Amino acid sequence: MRITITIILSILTFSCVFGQNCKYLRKVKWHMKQLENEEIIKITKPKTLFDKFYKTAATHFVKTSNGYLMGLHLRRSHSAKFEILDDNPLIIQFENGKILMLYPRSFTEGRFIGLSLTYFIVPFYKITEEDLEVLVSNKIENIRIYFTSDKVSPSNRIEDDLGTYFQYDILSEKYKSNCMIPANCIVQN
Amino acid sequence: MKSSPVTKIFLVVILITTSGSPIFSQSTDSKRSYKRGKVYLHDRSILTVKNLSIDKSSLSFDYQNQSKKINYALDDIKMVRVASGNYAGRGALIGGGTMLLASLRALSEIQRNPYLTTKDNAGEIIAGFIVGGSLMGALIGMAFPKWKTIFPSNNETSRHKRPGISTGLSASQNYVGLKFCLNF
Repeated sequence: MRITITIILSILTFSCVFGQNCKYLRKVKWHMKQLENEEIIKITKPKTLFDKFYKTAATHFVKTSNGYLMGLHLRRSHSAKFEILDDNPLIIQFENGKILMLYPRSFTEGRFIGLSLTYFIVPFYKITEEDLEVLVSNKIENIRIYFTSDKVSPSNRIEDDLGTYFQYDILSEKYKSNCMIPANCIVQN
Repeated sequence: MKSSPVTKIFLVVILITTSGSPIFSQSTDSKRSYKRGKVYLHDRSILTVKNLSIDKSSLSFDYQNQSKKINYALDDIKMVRVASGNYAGRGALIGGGTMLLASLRALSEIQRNPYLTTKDNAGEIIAGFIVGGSLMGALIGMAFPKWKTIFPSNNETSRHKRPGISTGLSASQNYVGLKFCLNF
C-alpha cells in the first residue's frame, strides 16, 4: 500500500514540475496593444529579466501566424518619456560573447502609470527561430535597449553609432537563464 | 412631368451638397496645420516645433524662435507626431472619482461610529470636494498632451476605418441617380 501511494505521489510531483515549465497567457493584456491585429497562436508568461528596485524588465515570447515576437516589459520609475522607433534595436549579449540584435516590429510609445511617474513601455521585437535557439542555449549577460527621446538627460543614457541606449547588466544567475525555458516553449509544437 | 418649385429647390440643395463635399474633403486632405508637433529626423534627432503645416510632399514649421519657417521634404523625415488634445477628461475623472471614494469612505466611518454625526451641509461639502478634485485633475491632465502620428500614415487602413458620409451623382439619357453611402 505504502509503495503504491509513494509511486502515485512521485508521478504527481513529477508531472507538476514538468507541467510548470511552459506557462502561457490565456489572452492578450491591455498593455499589449500592438498584438491586437495579430493572429496569435500562443504567448508565454512574462519572466523577469532584471529587477533593480526602480527599473524592472520582463520578457515573453509570442508565436503569431506571421512569425515570432519577443516582448519586453520595461518599467522605469522617475523616468523621462522615451519612444522606441522601428530602427532602435535591442542588443542582447550572452556570457559566451555571442550577440543578438533584434529590431522592433513597429513604433512603440509607453505611458506613465502610478503616482511615482513610472514609465511603462512594451516594445515587441521581431525574432527568428534561429535567434530563439540562441536564447535557449545561452545565458544573458547584459542588454542594450536603444530608444529615441528628447527628454532623457544625457547623464542617464549612453550613445554610440546605433543611437542612444540604456544598458542593464544581468547579475542574478536565475535571471540570466530566465529566457531559456520560454524560448524553448514557444518553438515547440 | 412638371416638377414643383419645392422639388426643384430640394434637387438644387442635393446637387450643391454632392458637388461641395468632394471639394471640401480635397481641401482638408491637401494641407493640414497643427499648433505643436515633433519632427523625427533620420539622424535620430527630434525637433519640437510650432505651427506645423504638412501636405503630400513637404512640411514646414517654426523652430526655436527662428524668424523664417523651416521647410523639409517628407522624404527627409522619419516621422511626424502632433499634439492632438490632452488628458484633461481622464484627469477630471480620476480627481473626481478619488474625492468621491474618499467622501464615501468618510460617510461609512461616520455611520459606524456612534460618537460622530454628519453636518447639515455635508452634501454640499462632498459636492465641493468632487468638483474641486475634478478641476484639479483636469488641470493636471491638461499638462499632458496626447500625441498622434500623422506621418507616415497608413492611408489604406485609415480610409476604411474612418466613419463618414459620401454622396455621388450619376446620370444618363433616361435617368438621374443619387448615391448615398454611410461608412461606419
